[in-house]
Amino acid sequence: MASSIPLVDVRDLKKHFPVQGKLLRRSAKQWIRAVDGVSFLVYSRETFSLVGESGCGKTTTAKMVLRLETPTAGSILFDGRDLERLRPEELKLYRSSVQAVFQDPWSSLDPRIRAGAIIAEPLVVNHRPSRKAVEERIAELLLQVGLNAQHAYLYPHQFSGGQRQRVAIARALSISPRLIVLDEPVSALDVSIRAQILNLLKDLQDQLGLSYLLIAHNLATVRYMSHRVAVMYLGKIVETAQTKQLFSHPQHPYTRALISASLDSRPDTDHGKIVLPGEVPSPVNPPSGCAFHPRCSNALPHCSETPPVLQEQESGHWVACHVAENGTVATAGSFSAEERT
Amino acid sequence: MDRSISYCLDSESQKASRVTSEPVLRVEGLRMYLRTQQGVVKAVDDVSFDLYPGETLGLVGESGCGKSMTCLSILRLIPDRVGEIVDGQVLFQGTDLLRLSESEMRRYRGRHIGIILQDPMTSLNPVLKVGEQVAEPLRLHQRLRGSALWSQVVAALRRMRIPGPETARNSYPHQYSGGMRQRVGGAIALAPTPEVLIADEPTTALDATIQAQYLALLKDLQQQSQLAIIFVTHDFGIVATMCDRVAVMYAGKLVEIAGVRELFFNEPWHPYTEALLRSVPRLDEDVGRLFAIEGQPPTLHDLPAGCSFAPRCPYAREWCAHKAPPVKVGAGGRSARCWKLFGYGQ
Amino acid sequence: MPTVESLDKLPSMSKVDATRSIWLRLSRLPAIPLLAFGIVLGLALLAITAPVLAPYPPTQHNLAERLRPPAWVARGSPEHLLGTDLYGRDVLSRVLHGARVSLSVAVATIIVAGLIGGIIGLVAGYFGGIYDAVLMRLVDAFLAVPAVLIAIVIASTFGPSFENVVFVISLFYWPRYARQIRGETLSIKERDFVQLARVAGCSPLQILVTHILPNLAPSLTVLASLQVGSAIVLEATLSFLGVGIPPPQPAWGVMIEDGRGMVVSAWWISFFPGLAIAVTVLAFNLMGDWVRDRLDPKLQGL
Repeated sequence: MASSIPLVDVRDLKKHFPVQGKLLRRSAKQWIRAVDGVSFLVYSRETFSLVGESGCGKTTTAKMVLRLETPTAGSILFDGRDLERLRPEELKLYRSSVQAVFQDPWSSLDPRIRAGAIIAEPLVVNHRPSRKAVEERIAELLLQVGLNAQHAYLYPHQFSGGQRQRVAIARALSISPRLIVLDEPVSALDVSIRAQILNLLKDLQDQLGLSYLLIAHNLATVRYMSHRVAVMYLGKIVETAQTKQLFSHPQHPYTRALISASLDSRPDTDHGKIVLPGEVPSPVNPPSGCAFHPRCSNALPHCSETPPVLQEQESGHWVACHVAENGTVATAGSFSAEERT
Repeated sequence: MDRSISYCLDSESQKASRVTSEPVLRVEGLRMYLRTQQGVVKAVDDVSFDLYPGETLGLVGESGCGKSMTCLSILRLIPDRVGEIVDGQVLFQGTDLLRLSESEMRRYRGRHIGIILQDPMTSLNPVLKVGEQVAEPLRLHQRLRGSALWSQVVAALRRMRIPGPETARNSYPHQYSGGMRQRVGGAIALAPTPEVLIADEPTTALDATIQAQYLALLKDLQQQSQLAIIFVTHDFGIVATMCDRVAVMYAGKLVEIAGVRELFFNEPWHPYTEALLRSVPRLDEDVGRLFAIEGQPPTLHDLPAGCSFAPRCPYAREWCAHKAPPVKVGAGGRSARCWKLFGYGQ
Repeated sequence: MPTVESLDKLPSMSKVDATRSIWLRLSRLPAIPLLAFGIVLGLALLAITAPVLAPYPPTQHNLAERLRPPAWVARGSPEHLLGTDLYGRDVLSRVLHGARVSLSVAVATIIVAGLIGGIIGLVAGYFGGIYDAVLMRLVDAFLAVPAVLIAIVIASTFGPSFENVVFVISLFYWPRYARQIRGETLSIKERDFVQLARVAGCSPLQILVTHILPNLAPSLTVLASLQVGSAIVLEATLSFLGVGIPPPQPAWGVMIEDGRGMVVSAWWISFFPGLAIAVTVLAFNLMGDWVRDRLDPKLQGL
């Protein structure tokens, strides 16, 4: 499955947005810490997911990987090379190695351009191939995503939502990238179409050896698609592990609550619903110490003073929680057999 | 402030406590057609179901299936130029709402049947204070004034566990988060203590943990007051946790009604329901490869002849495309429209 | 397939009267916009063929025939359908030639103001930051300019002419275009397909040309068609004041001024050019409204 050299190496990535102060004040005293020190690896041929609720920073992280936003601090290494240090030609090469599929199939495609041209744009912009080569590639890609060559001549509004996502995927594949960032690829689609697209993405990964950075809030989708997962809360990663491990032995109280809140489609599943109190706090004024402590039922006094650091509890399973370090975690909210109440 | 509660759904005890004698809402043969540029569209096509006090009926389906249109039709909120209810009865405690005049209908709307809508950003008026918006139905329906009015407003806000209800009445919607706004929406709907609540995907736009709070709250409220809820959703997880019975819609028709436990443990009757359940990834186990339903949900102005689901149905046979299937009714009101249940017309 | 007609025949639960369904059917016909579109096309045709169509040269004096009323009034003659003015010039011919002037001023203005305002709006909207700040302050400055005053200054300095009129009116309109286009650019820029174009490696110029401009086209069209009307009115105002199209060229505004002193006695001299302006502006406005209505819903999905 995964080779040992990571394709993407994100180190202590931060993105802080200044909050506009009062009318004329120039110094922005306040910062929105959208991403506040995030590190992870993505290997080739694997799907790595960032999950969390709105405002946790997963989308901003993805945008930094795509270089749609520039990091405030930290670095991103692709194939071992730091993106900040790349020369313009090398940066162009990076662009052709990393592509994206976004959530909204209605705004992802330019309504004035035909599907074929949409799909071929990355190819044309980067490589200037001959017209014939482009046409062949378009036809090939359309077949690969389950459409047919005739679809190249249609405009976006002539497609259904699921078909538009297929066009978006075909476009992302056009320059044979090594990593595709998938930002909520199926959330805006009808339930009966989601499985089609998820299966397609999985098949493409097997056929083409792609890596995916999957941003999602639906844990069941994440479980189906990912090899490894990281849970984010208020700009930081609170837990990361292999998928199966994370879902069977979640350590962080937020992970447990999130899993518990992600309703399972079977009634009477007796894993004890955890209902978190309160709201996700504002990223401008995060709580002191561990950002989660105001909502945590296991919080110790220590938790409001020092922020916890990610520590490896078991092989490949990292948790940022003072309580988890000591091994005294609540028993509700997991699926492992011995912990079921 | 909420405490973390460990909460398990226990449908058996809930069933026992439910008053099962008479339905509070009975919808029979409801048909609502829309006028569109492409012609007449059967948005709601012969929909019938009962709703009992204290129970939650899930109304499930994908976009375009007619679930929201059904709810709007029950409340007669479809404008005349857009569409028209052409047949059927909607009996609220015996009174047919469809035969009332508009002014008579207004006495039911909001007072006996409340509604919560999907988008917390637009369902509240941004220029009115929260208290004003909660007070409005109380003013209109129960003609409360002065301190009687405001004490009810505060009580409604408190019931929805909005922190600081006394001061909340002077706040504006933009000061609240999405989850809180949905609670305000709930307060508005529930302030006049209606018998029926229609919840049209109220948690779709909310984060998972906020959704969990909201659903737990609704469940508690329901247990206290015998409130009957129609919960519109496309999420079977919500169905499994919140609902007692579930009605599945496809292309404007109701294709299956069953108790939730029957559906999940005794297999669905309708192939669409079955396919939907098999196409949704599971949280608690690895399912191998998801079953993907072929094709797209149909466009309502271009429906196939016979059974609307036949083009995508893994069990379909030639017969299915000829004639629309009849309804098979089983024990406890369980029913489904499918030729498979009738041996394909043999 | 059931039609709207058959829907009307189905039993109705609410108390909908028959008249409502008739209105529904009527309002689906684009009667008014079609009429407006026809008027606009007709005007364009008239303007182009005016030299051929007009019975007399517009500047030809004929003192024997001065102040003739329109043909259907006493003393009128069929030789001058709409009458003549103080110098015996045929009103009908002058109105027709005036159409040429007015429409060409409008078109020229739209092009000039559109180009300037468009480029400035695009740059400000897409690149933002300091470009946006500086350019928008420039826009604000020009918005404060009173068109008529500037026209008077320019006319008295350089003398009135067609080019000066176009210049002044463009000066007046380009900031409005710039504002509108900047706003649209800002919102288009945030749409996913533009972000994805950046991910694909497109340069800003490629994005502006391939993605943003074509998506601006609908609102540009609407803006232009709505502005034509007011451009014509502005030109007429300037001509009326004597700082627009110089006489003896026939411009509707000038004609109205000519007849100003005789509104009671020789009403037709001011009336017909005034009517022409009103009809033209109304037609363009209706057409612009219709274009906007047609284009917007389509763009908003489905």
